[in-house]
Amino acid sequence: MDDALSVDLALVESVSRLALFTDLEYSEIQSLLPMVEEVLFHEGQWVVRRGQTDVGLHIIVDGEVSVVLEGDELAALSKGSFFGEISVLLGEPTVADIIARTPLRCLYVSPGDVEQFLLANPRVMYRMLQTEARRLQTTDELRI
Amino acid sequence: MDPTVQASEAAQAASLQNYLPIAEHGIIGDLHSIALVGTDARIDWYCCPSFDSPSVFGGILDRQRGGFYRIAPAIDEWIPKQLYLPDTNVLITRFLSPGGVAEVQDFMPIQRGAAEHRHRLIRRALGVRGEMRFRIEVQPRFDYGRDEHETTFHENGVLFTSPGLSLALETAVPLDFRGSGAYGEFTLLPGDTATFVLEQVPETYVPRSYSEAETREAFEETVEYWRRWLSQSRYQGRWREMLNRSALTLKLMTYRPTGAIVAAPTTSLPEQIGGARNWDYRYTWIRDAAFSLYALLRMGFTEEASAFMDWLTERFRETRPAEAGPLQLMYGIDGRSELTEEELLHLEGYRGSAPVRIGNGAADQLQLDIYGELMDSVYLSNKYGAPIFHDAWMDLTRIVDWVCENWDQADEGIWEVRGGRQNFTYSRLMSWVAIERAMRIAVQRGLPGDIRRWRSSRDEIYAQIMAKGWHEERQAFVQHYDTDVLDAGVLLMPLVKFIAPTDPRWLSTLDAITSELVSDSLVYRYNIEISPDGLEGDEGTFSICSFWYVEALARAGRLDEARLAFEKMLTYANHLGLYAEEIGLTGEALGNFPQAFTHLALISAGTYLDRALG
Repeated sequence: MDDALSVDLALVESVSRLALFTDLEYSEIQSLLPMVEEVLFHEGQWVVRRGQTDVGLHIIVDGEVSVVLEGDELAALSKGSFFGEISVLLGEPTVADIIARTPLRCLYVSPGDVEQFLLANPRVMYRMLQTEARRLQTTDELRI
Repeated sequence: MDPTVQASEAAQAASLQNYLPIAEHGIIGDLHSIALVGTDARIDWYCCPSFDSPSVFGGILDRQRGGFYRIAPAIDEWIPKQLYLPDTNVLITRFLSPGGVAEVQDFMPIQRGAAEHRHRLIRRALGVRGEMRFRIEVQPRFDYGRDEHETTFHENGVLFTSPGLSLALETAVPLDFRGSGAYGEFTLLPGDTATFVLEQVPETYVPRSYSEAETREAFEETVEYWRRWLSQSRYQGRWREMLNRSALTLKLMTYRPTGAIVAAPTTSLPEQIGGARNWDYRYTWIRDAAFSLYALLRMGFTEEASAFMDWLTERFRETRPAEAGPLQLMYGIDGRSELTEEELLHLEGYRGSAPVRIGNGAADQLQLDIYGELMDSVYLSNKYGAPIFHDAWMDLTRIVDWVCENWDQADEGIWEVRGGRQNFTYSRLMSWVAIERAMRIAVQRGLPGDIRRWRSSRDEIYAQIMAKGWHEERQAFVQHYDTDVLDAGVLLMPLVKFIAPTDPRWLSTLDAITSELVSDSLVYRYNIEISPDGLEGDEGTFSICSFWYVEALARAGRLDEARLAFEKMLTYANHLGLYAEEIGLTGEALGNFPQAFTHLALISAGTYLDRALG
């Protein structure tokens, strides 16, 4: 079997288990993959620097990241999570550092392609909105 | 022999040894369902959302295909210790290793007030000393392993979605997939915690994060619930710890929405390893529930008696064919009468003990004794709990009238033998109890009833037992009218006050049972070699009979013997004070676990013996 094809199938399998893509058929995931780039980071590597503006949407396929603000770890994100979308949607710089805690594999959508990516995949956008709603709710609960 | 066959048989034998002993488990629950937690911190039995729902984790019935949920050290050598947080059903599994000490707290919160119950199973790992690396692995197998499921990774955990049930595993610990389940590793230092909340959710649910404060609150509320409940106990005697644990365990087997009590929360744990006597006990037997009630009432827990009476009253109302009797011998916890038995051929059974059965084909058996146990519990409930209401009493009088008409026939008897109907002495005895207790209530409360007719039937039964249940040659009461086989069921004769505990007929029966059915204070139900019961295989000693034996000895005034037998029985409990249905030759727990029957008999014997010892 063609190596590239087998790698793609493994990726499709991994991606299909992520909450963002759970409503999509395998064929839909395959046709979506050309719109994204697969990016890899080493353990300890900076993925996003606070204040950066051209971040783009990162969707974690494997590994974990730390969300760090002024040396404090605010949260850990892992498989099924995503980051960088707020900066793209608002056109504002990022507010925290993101550091890979382990070897990291992400799907990456560049800032200029995010709008098109989401409009082309409304089920993914809906799932993203659900997660944002859950984040908002949790933040509100913490404020109480 | 073909070496490959030999090798595969050896592999199969090795895999069958791979099961944790039944006794190496603790139990947690939320009055809807329970989970069995092994000393290896592996949950290998959990049905969601109710006791009789299909299993999600059923590894105890098939290590490979049953499903499990494990949180345990990632290192090779550690020693497990398990205990309950005192006076609660919060279970703590501790791990001791040269590098550190850590523990997992397991509990299922109980909803307060009118809010809809959330089916949550919370596991909280805590670092105690040194450093400990943990592995968590969750491998659900829905519908006893018959349903496929999808696993989806979210920001705050994982969602498992099957056609009939969805569960979220919510945690801040990063998880990865392994097969169709989830896997992760984490390290705890002293004071660190990691929380995992498994919860029944809608399939569109988005897992959320749990703060440490929220988990602590759920923990504290659960602890408080159990301590408040136990504080109603009036028992202050010797063996308080053991009796309280039995009461807490019985309470775990009550189904809060209806007040029903299950006989045991498991199915098909074998009465003999590799044997076929594997039954589903996740239902409400009138007999077991009535005895449970008796035990709880004896300790002062009246709320359960009242809830169970409500459930029972509903059953009286249902119409049944006249020849079947007014009550079925067992029901679903929701009161349903249809409990179709089915064999799950895809599961190998605990250590190869097949078949695994769900449902219960004995539901249709005729067992006349249940009316006796029923009326005894009504009598006690009326005396110590709430007085019986008019409508329920009128229903009961119809039942007593039915017993008067129907007691004189063969039935399947208390042990649900499948070898044909007999005129069992025990069934007659309990028919006598049914009528006798009804007469007492009627007289004490001045309630209406055909007392003259009842008295006539009661005395007829009495005379018949004394004539036909008594075996002149053996000088003992026997199993049924056409045999000389002994049966431990008759140990109840003095307990239900059918016969004086020092009556010569009784004392010689007790001696005969002691020499034939008792082995080092453990009691067999009957000798199955000479009383074929329609089933293949041997069985262990029956713990309930052993406790009845203790009580019978105590009532006969043989207090030293009774006390020693009781203390010996206590040594057969597991490390947490839990009992299965039976005890095998080497003291191993056999049968469904934990079993209400055993715990209630322990309470009964423990309270009587303590009082008798003064």
